[in-house]
Amino acid sequence: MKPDRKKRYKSLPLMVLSQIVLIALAVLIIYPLFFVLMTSFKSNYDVLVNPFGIKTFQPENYVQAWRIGMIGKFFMNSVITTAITLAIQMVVIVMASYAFGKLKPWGSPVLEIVYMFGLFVTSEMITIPNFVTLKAWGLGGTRASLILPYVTNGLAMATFIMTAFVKSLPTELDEAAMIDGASILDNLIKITLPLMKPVIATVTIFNFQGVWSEFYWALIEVKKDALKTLPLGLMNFQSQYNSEYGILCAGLMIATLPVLLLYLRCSSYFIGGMTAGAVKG
Amino acid sequence: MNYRSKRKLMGYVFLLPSFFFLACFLLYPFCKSVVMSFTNWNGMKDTYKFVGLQNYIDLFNNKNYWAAIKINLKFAVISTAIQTFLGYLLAYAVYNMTRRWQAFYKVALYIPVILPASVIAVMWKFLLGAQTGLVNTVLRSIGLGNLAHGWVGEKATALGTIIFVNTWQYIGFTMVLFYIAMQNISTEVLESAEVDGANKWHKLIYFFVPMTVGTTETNVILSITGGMKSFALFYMLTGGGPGKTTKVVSMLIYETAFTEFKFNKALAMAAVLFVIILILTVISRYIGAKYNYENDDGRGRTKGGAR
Amino acid sequence: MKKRVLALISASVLAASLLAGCATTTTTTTSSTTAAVEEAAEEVAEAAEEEVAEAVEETAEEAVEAVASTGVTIDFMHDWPEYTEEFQKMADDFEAETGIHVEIQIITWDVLTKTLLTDFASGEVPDVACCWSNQMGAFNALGAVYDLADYMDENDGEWRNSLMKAGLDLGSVNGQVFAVPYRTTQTVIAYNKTIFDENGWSAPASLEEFEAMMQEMVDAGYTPLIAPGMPNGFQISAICGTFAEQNLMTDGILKRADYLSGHYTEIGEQWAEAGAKLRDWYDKGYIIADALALEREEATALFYTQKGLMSFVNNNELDPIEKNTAEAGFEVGFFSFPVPEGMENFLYNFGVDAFMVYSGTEHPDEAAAWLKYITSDAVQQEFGNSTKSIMGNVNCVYDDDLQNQLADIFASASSYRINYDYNDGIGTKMGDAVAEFMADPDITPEEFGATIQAIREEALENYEE
Repeated sequence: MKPDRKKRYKSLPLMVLSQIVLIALAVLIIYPLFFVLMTSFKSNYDVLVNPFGIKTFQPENYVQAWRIGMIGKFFMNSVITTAITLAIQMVVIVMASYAFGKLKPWGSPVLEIVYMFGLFVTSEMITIPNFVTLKAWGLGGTRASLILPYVTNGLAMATFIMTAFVKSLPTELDEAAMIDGASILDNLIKITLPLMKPVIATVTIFNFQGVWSEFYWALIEVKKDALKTLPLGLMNFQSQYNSEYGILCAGLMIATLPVLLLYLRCSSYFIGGMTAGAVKG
Repeated sequence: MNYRSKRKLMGYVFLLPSFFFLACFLLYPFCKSVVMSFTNWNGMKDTYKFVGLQNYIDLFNNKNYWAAIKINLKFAVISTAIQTFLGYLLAYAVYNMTRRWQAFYKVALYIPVILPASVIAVMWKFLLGAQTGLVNTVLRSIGLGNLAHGWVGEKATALGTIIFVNTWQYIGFTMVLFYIAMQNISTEVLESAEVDGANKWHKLIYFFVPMTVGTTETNVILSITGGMKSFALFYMLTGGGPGKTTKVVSMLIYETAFTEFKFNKALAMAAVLFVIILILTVISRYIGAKYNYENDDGRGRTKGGAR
Repeated sequence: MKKRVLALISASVLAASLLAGCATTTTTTTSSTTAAVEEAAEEVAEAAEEEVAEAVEETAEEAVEAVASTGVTIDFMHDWPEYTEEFQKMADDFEAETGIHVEIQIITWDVLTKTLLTDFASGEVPDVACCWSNQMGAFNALGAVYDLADYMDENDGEWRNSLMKAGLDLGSVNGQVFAVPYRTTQTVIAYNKTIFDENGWSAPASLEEFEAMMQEMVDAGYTPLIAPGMPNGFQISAICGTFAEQNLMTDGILKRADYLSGHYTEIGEQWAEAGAKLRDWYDKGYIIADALALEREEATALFYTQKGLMSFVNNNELDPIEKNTAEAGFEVGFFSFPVPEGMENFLYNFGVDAFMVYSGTEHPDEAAAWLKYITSDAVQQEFGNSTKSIMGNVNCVYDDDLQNQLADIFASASSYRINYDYNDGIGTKMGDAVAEFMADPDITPEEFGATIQAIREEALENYEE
């Protein structure tokens, strides 16, 4: 709920200035994306020699990208892997943040820090042992070998953010529900969850991007074409000596589009906040 | 068992699924790596001997490592300061806008967060090129040619350029988190403040900031830990150069492992980095806890400090 | 009886021809088949009628054993996503000929070393993998590579003689052959032939000629040499290294065995001189300003837009360079960095993209067979022509003149690249030192030389611990 419009008594120049700054910022932020879009239509020579203008128009870059990048084949793989990972993550993380935020088991503060370990460790500590573990479980090169580590990678930040958020939610609603005899699960699903929508949305987008564009782990785990994800297809445009930037950018646009769309879809959830009537006095 | 205890027990149940993942794919590798850091493991499977603390002793004498840590600290602190302030102001500005503008800015400012690293690398490589990059070309064309630098190739500007790109990438994320926190502030408190004559700045300083300390703490911790671990941007933009001015710890670890083939030393470096980041985080949490009025501390305070 | 003997002989001959297939590429199956046939023939000649049946059985068994090579799968890793189709075709053809299935895994060049090391550490390594020859010393120290010297020596060194010596030497350590050169990856200088011709310049034959020519260029208002310095000093560091090696050659150090294995480290003087010369070139304007901040793409872009007359390129950029210069409207030529007058011609940092066999492979014969196949005349010829690469097989003659030109240079020049028999990582440090030196005019060449020597000494010390 926003402050009442009628009561704004800001000075006009300041408003205008802040609008200009914000627009400049927005341009600054959108321009690079526009740059990639523009590059995706250029010939390779044009890209090298004339990076910021556009002299050629080659929409066939997209066709090439689709074909060479095997996007048709790999798109579904990315979708499936990402969808499963996110689904597991959401359930697991919401439960964990509810535990830390509301249930507060003994040893919570220490456990919370342990859950944050993911923010403190570098990939060198994790890659090789995981590689060996998955091989030992007989899962090497399978979809599961991607999903399991992906879920784990997204745990630290997401749990951290969600826990902080849950802790900041008012407790009156829970107390009221407790008095009415609601079970913990009911409490979670009916009361807390709806309030968590904005953070869930934010975290979903962030983790989606993390899984969708993950390259190195997929590269060393997946050897069969049947399981390869999009980023592995994109590498077909990059070589040591001659990257086809035009086609690469076309491929990147195709690959990034779902993330953008998902974001646009979820952004409506960012308008969160409580209903005013629920908490009074 | 009383109600309170039952809830706490359920807490463990709720933690189980995530703990399974954590234990298998994070904690176990972590422990294994720490163990390996006490050996002379050279990277071939199953061939190592324990050497006690030798790697760590060498590490304390390693000038390059501590120089890299300094760079990381500089980067982390400056980035965090900029992002927290700027992110907060941006969030507040967007908060005060009409719905349509809000929708636009939320999308626009968040886009860099969801761009994959490869896109960012391509873009900024072309923008920051010393001779042909857009930034320099624009500067030269408007007569400010002497401000044109080899942004990522010059000692004086390399780190600053990376801080800039890093801010560009994550400011949207910081902003959104603050924005969500602001959304949760009860409007009655704000309205009564307005009635008492508070303008936007008063509200910002005396109401919004104190009431979103939790989110500030979150953002600060994320910024600092991210900054200390940062690899991708440095790798793509400067490769640690020029010279060693932007060689961050993660790059040093990478090189020690994959160009010098000294996994044991690399893991020791990573372990020490872990401890440093852990300490910084614990300090941040402690400070945050002292100033946090947001959370229910069990004594019946409601949000906003009203009793 | 006659009928049975005839039947036996024809059965053996049929079995032999089935297995012999392309005898040139699969010597193991050929030799075992030849042996089987010989044995069968002997037995037939000596055997009485009752033993003929037994002999037939035995031959059939041996034939089955030789065929057992088929059905083997070997894992193969390469780092050329852009050549996916070419390698797949090679694998399919190979399987059709020998029955050995090649399972291909593709990675990118920038994660090559990382991937190999991760594989070594986890024990899951492809049988045949791409690598850079100069890493073989270090990989051997890890115990990760398989010695192919025996295969090289088969048939009077047939395989060995088909490959370029410099490339093979690079991948060998103390006579053990670890890396088979597939194609070269060597820095050469591309030049704007159109402008050269206009001004009467031509590819220099010696270092002195080169410098004189660049002075003329500077006087005429051109920028002679474009050299990207990003990352870690890159080509700027390469120029410095070239001068250093030339100095070391003059001082008689370059060919010493202890130098070439990385155990001789008193090189500070030569590097100091090299640093001074590099600065000299820079100050005279031979090298483009801001070189330290230039990236490879920018450098090539500047070359195409004719902002500089010469540029450092890799020989594998031949194809795009020819296309792009055609589009830009000028003719291009190539030459290799010249040595001083009278000096033996050698190349700095000669590199080959090579393939190695994992020491723990379960199928060394099959792996060697595959390697022999992809370095065979026909296969290499085709690959070289379609990709404009300069291959490791010396019998190749290409369609493109420029390609042949470069191939000749590489075949005839020597290389004195250090093949460290301990862990590498020195390259990056030295490149950083050069970049620092060039960026900071307060560092004297002597200090720079001392820094380089210190880096080398430290690395050696660490190894010997």
